Amino acid sequence: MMKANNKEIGIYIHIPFCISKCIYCDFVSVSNTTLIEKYFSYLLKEIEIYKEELKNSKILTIYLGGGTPSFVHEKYIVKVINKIKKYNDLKNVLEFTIEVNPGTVSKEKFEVYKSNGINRISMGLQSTDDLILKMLGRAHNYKEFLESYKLAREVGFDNISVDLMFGLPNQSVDDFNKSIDKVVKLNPEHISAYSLKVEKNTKLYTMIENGKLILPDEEIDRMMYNNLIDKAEKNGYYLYEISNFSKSGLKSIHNTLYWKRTQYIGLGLSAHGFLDDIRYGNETSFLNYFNKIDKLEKPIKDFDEINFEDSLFEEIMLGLRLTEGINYKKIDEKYKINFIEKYKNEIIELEKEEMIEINGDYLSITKKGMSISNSIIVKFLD
Amino acid sequence: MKNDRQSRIRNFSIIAHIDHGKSTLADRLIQITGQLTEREMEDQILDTMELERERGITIKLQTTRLKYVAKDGIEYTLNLIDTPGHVDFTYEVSRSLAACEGAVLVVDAAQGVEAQTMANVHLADDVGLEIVPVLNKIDLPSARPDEIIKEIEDDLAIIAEDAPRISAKDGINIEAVLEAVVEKVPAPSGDESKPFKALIFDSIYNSYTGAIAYVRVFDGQVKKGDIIKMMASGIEYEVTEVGIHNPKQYRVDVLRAGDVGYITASIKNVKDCRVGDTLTSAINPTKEALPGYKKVTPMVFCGIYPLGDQKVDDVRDALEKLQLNDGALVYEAETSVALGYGFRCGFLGLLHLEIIQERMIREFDLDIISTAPSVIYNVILNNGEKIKVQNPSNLPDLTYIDYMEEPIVRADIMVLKEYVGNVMALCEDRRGTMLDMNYLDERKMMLHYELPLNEVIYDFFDTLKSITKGYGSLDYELIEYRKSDLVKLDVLINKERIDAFSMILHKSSAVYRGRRICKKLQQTIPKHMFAIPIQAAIGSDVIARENVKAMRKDVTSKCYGGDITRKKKLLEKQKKGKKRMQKFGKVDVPQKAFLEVLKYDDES
Repeated sequence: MMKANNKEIGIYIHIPFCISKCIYCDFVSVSNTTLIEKYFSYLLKEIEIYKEELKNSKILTIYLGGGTPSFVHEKYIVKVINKIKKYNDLKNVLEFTIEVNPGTVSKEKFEVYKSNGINRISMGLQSTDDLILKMLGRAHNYKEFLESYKLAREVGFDNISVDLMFGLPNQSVDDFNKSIDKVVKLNPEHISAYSLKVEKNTKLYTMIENGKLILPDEEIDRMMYNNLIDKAEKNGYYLYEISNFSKSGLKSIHNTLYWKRTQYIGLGLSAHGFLDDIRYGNETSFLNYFNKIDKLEKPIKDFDEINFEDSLFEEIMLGLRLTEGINYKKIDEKYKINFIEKYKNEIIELEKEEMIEINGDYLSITKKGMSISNSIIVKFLD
Repeated sequence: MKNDRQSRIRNFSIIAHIDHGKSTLADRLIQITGQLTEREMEDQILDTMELERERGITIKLQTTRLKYVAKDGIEYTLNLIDTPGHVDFTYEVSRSLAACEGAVLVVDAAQGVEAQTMANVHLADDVGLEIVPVLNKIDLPSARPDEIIKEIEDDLAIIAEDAPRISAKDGINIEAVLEAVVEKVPAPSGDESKPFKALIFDSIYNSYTGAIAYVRVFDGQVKKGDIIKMMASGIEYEVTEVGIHNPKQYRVDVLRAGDVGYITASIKNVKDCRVGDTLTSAINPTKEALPGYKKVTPMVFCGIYPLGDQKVDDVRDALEKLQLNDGALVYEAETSVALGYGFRCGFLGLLHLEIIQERMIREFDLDIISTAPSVIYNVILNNGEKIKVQNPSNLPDLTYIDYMEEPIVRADIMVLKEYVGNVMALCEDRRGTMLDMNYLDERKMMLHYELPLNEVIYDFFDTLKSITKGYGSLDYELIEYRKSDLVKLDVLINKERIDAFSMILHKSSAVYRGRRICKKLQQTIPKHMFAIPIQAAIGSDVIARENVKAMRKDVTSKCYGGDITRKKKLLEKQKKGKKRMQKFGKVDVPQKAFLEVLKYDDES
């Protein structure tokens, strides 16, 4: 791989540990604490393997995701940060996020995070209904969330994002309305809200297959989404991506790097990265991850070289997730196409259905269209 | 007239009802006469196409020469000419039989005489063959050879008391069949000094040599370098090779009167090498062609179109290649408003149609759509003019039509008596008129019906099989055209008439079928961004309707921690799925919808 050449990049670091696994989760995470010490020693070695890339980059964002990064002792987080600092002074960092689950944090933890440069907290709440939280296998209740949230504010975090989920088994439109109202009242700077997607190889999948849990139908799910948009907008939140709302311009810069196809280094088990036109995914088993690092190799499992055609595909696919849409003029220049001409028929049809709109140089999916964005995006991928 | 050489030749076919063991017996005969080593002996050698094996039927004929030293100490040359085993291929069967002097009639010792047994015996009688009955499957516990022999004698008027009792599967008593052939089948006659005259009973295509004609020489002889002429088409060729099958191709110097073999002559297409045509010498031609030549006429038609991104040229290539080997397949280019460029194809029957479709999908890996099968209707216009219509799109406006006629077949259905009620209900349902019915024995009955062919070409045969637990058998032949109250049923998707779904049917079944089609389409068309009305109509009268609801949700909400590749794969899959669909206006219709619409079954 080539050097990043002082390019603007993001860093994603995966911390694969949790108190327990939620029933819908298909990310790589374990609750075996005996591995923590070893894992971090290898993560530090992996950072060293990437030292050239780190040295030669302008790091704009760092995102500690999981798993539950707040589950492990804060000393590990500090070690990781210090290791990166060995190769990069981090003075260009605009946003440094850590994912936190309620009940896994203390005032001290937050203080350590803050003093080490972390400036954004992403809190996994999912629902304010304790019964639903229990059903999902979440290791906390709503009260614990409130306490953790308060702590973060007390320590001085002024950029907090709260994660919600909807379209959950047994969840009514009313239940979700309550969750939205309560969260909005707390006034976090950012809200992410995901419609539940049932992944194979999860406990949830089996339970639904066996009829033990029943999902609300699409109509209900969309009612929830539309209510969410309404309520959020009434309270000063702005939908800037299918699942993301922000207040006073505080979008997630890190996630925006993904949508805009900026490069990022992925570090840690199962982390994904995008460097020099290569998208890669790290090893997903601890053993393979350790083995490759022992050989001083990057612990990459799969990678894809992104050619010209792929990058156009990505630009459309990712750009249309944003409410601002894609700048088709720029795409025309970069890819030597005439976007509007090429998709004339699709555009006419979709405009008629009020699924997309064109404003200046931007083509974007409307709020109505967001619910079926895959079907819309697919039309522009030929 | 027979010379010495001819007296040691026997030309024969094996005829049987499907599943009675024709192919198994053929394999045994090849094996026992030592034509192939054990290692070369694959199961059912004569059925070479994968599809044939799967369906247990013979589609393409094969022929083979067997050498057999009989009990009289003389070595005989036995030419076994295979016959296809389905009602769709009656003409081919009759031409194979015309190449022989005798036929081995295989009857299942448990099942006894069936509809096709009778039909085949009639065909063999028509060309004056000596019939050699054989009782197969005597190893079965349910075998009742004595009763079946009586059945053969009573129903078919064939003396069967000394019929060999065999098990082709277990190789029991196979030699007795060969002895019976030598003893009973007359040796061929024919004058070697007369002008060359041969019957083409099959042809296959080979990419190196062109079409290969399978022939029976009746007079004269033929060798490499001879100039020959096809009497029906008038085309002349120079013979490049003559030979026999053993069962592999084996070149010989000359084929003489009485012989069965093959001829290659750089014939480009099997169409130029028509089954039933007479070959003669171009220099010294025979005066009269052999009797019985018929240009095959397709009975069932449908449109075949490329689906989604599939190219129309690929479909044409496949049809061309299939036709090289299948003279009965006809096609011509046509366009459909809904499906664009495609082909109108004609088939001998529904099975033939299904075989061609399946081969296009499997062997040529094509994505295709076929429209509803149709028969040829006579349309009598107000001005007295009579036109033939097989494509519903070509049906003139009703105001121009005085009346219409549809083809009627006579169907012979054989069934165990406990299922007679079911069969009668089915025939009733399909507008059948019973002519008569009679007992063949205590258990078996033969029902004679007149049925409209357009009712038979939907899944009549499949339904018959399922309501008789597989015991029902069917044979049918066209008898006449009859005036009928026919209508054209149109299907509208999102208010657009889709010509590919149009069908001509009897007025009495229009509402029922219209409802079913709408229901099936509703179930198979995926949700779109807008609601899609689906309607069935006769002219401007909508007789059935359904609605595909608008799509409410199709979104990948999750972030996947920067795993863009995963998102991309999801969308790529979705994109591929879309390409496999047919676009009608704004609506994407999957291939499955076409298949579902053609099904008659009412479980949904």
